[in-house]
Amino acid sequence: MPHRTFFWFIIPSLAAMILFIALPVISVITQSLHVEHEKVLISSENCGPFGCKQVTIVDVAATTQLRADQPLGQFSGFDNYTNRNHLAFDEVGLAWEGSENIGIFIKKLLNLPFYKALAFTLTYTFVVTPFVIVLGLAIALGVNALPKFAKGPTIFVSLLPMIVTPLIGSLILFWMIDGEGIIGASIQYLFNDPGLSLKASPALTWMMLIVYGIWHSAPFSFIVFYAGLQTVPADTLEAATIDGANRWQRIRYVVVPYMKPLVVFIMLMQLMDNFRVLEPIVSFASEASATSLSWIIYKDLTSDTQLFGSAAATSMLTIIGVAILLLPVLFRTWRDFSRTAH
Amino acid sequence: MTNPAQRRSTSLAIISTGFVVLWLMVAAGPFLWTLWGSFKVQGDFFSKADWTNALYGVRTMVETGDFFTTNGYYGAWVEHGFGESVINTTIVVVSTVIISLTLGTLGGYALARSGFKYSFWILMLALVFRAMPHITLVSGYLLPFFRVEYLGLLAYFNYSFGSH
Repeated sequence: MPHRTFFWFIIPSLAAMILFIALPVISVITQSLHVEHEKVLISSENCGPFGCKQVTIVDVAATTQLRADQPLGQFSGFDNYTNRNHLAFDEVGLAWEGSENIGIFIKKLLNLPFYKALAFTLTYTFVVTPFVIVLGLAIALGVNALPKFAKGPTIFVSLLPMIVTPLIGSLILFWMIDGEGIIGASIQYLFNDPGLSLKASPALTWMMLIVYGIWHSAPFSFIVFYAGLQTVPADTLEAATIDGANRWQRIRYVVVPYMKPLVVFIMLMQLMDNFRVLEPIVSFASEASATSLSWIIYKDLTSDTQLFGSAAATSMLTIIGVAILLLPVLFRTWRDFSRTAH
Repeated sequence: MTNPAQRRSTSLAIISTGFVVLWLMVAAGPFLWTLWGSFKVQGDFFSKADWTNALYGVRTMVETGDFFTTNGYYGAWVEHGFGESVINTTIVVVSTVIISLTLGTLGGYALARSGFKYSFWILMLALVFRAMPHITLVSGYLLPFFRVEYLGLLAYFNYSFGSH
C-alpha cells in the first residue's frame, strides 16, 4: 500500500485519537502539575474595649475571583505525585526505616491510599484474567458440544452478564449478597453462622469483587473462543483421532494450540479492562476494604472540592501503570511484526 | 457426527452438559431474580425480615392486594423519567457506533494492509490509548472546557445553538 493511500485511510482515526486522547493527556499532565488555590485570607486587627485581637477571615470574593482568573490553580511541580495521597515518598521512607520486618512495612504501605488501591487493582487484574480465560474456554467447549437447537438460546443467556451495564450487574449482585439477600442468607445458613457478612471482612470483599469480575467477563472470553472453535480445521482433528489421540489429547494438542492467538487477544483485552475496575467498587460500596486506581480518581473528581490536580496525578500514574503492564505484550507483537514486515 | 471415533461417551456428555447448565444458572440467575423481584413492592425485594418474602410477596399482598404489582415499572417510567434516559442513551449509542465503526474500519484496513514500521507504532499507540482507564481523561477534558468557558466561547455557542 503506497504511503499516500495509507495516509488517507488512517487520517480520520489518527485525528480522532489526537483530538480526543492525545490532547487531553497533555491537558492531564498540565493539570497534574498544579494544585487548587488556597483560600485568600485577610488578617486585620480588631480592636475593642479589651485590647486588640488579630482576626483572620476568608475573603470569599477574592478567592472566587482568583479561581476564576486562574482555573488551573497554582503551579506546584511534582508535589501532586509525591504527596501522601500518591507515591508518598516521605511516608514510604519512614515506614521502611521504622519497620522491623518486611511484613510490617507492607502493612504500613497498604495504609497509604495509592498503594492500597494499587494492591487491589493488581490482584484483581491478575486473578480475574486467567480465570476468565479458562472458564471461557470450558464454556465454549461445552456449548460447542450441545445439540444444534440448544446452541442459540444458550449463547444468548451466556452473554447476559456481559451485556448488562457493570453498574447494574454489580448492584443486582450486591443486593443478593446482602445479609438479608438470597445469597447472603444462604451462605449464613450454609456455614451456620448468622453473623457472617460478606461485606464486613476485607478478604471476603476482595473475593466477592473478584468473583463478580469473573462472572462479568467470562462471556467475553466465551464468545471469542466459541467463534474460534468454529474454525478449528476438521482435518487436523480427524488426523489426530486416527493417530489415536483421545478426546482430552485432541483438546490439549490440537484445539488449545489453535486457540493461542485468541488467548493472547483475550489476555490483552482483559488486562486492560480489569485494570480499570471501578463500577463494582462503587456499586458494592466497598471502599473501606478495596479501592482501585480508577476509584481514587473518581473520588477526587466527585468530592465536594474537586481535586483536579490530584486526580490528574493519579491518572498519569495509572496510565504509566497500564503501559508497564502492556510492555510484554507490546514487545511480543513487535517481534511478530518484525518477522512479517517487508 | 457420523464418525464413530467422534462419538462421545455418555458420562462425558453428562458432565459437559451439566457444566453448561450450571453456568447458565449462574449467568441468568441474578436476572431472573431481579425480573421476579421487579413485580414485588420494595418491602419484599429488599426485605429486612426474610429474603423469601421476595419469592412469596408477603408485603406485596398486603400493600397491593395482589401477588404481582407493576408499581415498580410505573415508578421508573413515569415518576423517574426512564424514557428520557432511554432517548439520551440511544443518541449516544447510535452516534458512537456509527462514528467509531466508520473511523475504525478505515484505519484498521490501512494498518492490516501495510507493513511500514510507522504503522506498527500507530497500532501500539492505539493499544495504549485503548488501555487507558476512561476516567483518567476526565480531568483532562475538564480543563479545555474551563478555558472555553473562561473565554466566553461556551456562552457564545450556547447562544448560537439556542437561537436556532
